[in-house]
Amino acid sequence: MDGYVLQLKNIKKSYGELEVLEDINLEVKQGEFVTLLGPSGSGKSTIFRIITNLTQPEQGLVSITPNKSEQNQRIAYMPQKDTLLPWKQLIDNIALPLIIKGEDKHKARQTVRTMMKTFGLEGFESYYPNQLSGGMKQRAALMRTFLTDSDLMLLDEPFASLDAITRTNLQEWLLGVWQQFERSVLFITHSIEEAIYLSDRIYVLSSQPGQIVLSLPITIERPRDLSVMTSPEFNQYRDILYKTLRENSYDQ
Amino acid sequence: MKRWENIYKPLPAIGFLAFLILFWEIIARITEIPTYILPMPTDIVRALSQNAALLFLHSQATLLAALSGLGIAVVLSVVIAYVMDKIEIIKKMFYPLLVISQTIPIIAIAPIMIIWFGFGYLPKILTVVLVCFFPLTVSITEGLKKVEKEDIEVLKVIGAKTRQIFWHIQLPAILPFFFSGLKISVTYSVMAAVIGEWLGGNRGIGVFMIRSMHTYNISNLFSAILVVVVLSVILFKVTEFISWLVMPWERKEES
Ligand SMILES: Nc1ncnc2c1ncn2[C@@H]1O[C@H](COP(=O)(O)OP(=O)(O)OP(=O)(O)O)[C@@H](O)[C@H]1O
Ligand SMILES: [Mg+2]
Repeated sequence: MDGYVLQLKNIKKSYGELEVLEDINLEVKQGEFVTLLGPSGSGKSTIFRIITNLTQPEQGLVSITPNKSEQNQRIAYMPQKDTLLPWKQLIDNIALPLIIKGEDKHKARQTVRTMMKTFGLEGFESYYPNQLSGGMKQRAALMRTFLTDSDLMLLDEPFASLDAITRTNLQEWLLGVWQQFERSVLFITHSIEEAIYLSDRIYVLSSQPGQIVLSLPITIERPRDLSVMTSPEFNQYRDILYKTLRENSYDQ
Repeated sequence: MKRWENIYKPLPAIGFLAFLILFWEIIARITEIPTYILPMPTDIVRALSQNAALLFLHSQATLLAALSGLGIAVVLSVVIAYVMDKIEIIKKMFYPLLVISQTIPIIAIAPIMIIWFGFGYLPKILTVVLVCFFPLTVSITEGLKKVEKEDIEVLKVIGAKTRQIFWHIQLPAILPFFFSGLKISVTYSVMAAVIGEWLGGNRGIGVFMIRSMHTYNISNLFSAILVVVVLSVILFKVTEFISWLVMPWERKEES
């Protein structure tokens, strides 16, 4: 239970002249919720692209513990950009990982249908993405990511485009489903509060080149509800993170 | 409410057309221009009803050439646009030539087709293919260029094969572009078939036109024009309907 799902060692990455990542070391343990916190342009999304093998680092090592069930390495990846397909009904959008795996369409739809309620999407099966609110779209994209059978989930700022209330609701909800499904999560955000509320551990990245300047365990007891946000503990974490971010963010 | 607007939308155009026809009829009657120069609309309607059976027969031939040519053009353009999108060098080799080839007037190519392939259906079909191929390929190529990179990446990360990426992403993504190309092609297709028929053969609206020309039967010519217009409009509307059917996500909200 204590094994690593993901380890990055000495990752270095540049785009041409631009050094984006410098000596990145990080780990995600089985069942852990880990957050990458950093200013815009610090290379957070790039780390995800390296983990998913969409781009290659110049240096360093990515090791992902293979799934229990299969040796074929799949990663549940939710990119920063909305990638629900406009031409598929919600149910088919969400079923996509199952379909790609080769599951029969009816069976895949059935699986999705039974889970719609958990994800708060019941009744919207046959809607097209452009008929849905931003919050629902994010829930659907998250549900699709959950359906990729992989121990590791990469979530790139899933709540960035939402209003404060919707965002808080979804954070609470995400913690719920995360506990229910027992996945390991690597999460990206530039919201300090979001990071503390959700995570077991936070890595803080500096501005270019992105380097990990702090690895902070968050020991607030789980299950957490929104009231922890006003606790003294929470405030201490916020102060540390705020200070670290201030010292390590600069405009280029 | 919407529905009423839709019904009334073409009314001004229809009204204006009716006015023009009436005006034409009156002018032709008053000025007594000979029928073999300017027939009256009533003459044309008479020619239409007298030749109905014949026109129907010829229309079938024209439609057959137009639709077969269109079908071949669709398959060709999808394949070629896909290959050009996949392999950069092929696009660089092929695309500029494709654009240049469009400066050759179709009326100049049709005779060559006749010499090479005789007077049957084949040269007509090939003329249609040549005309329809271009707008289709260009629009599909544009569509493939606009496919979101991230959409494809998400599928790759969950282990999708090239074939799955094509079916789930590329094909549906190009549909709107494909159909805007197809709407142009479909109207060209009738015209191209008629041009092919002008140059020889014994069936088709084009053949009927040439024969009417030789006998100075201008009423028949006008009735043939009418048939060409009606065929083109029908094909266009059918295309619109098919695009409505296959792209439910593009439909405007129906109230
Ligand atoms: N394909 C690319 N080619 C060139 N430069 C790139 C590419 N992708 C990212 N970059 C650059 O790398 C840097 C890091 O980008 P990245 O998207 O990883 O940042 P980020 O931390 O995710 O930022 P944000 O919080 O705004 O999403 C940026 O300066 C960006 O311009
Ligand atoms: Mg990013």
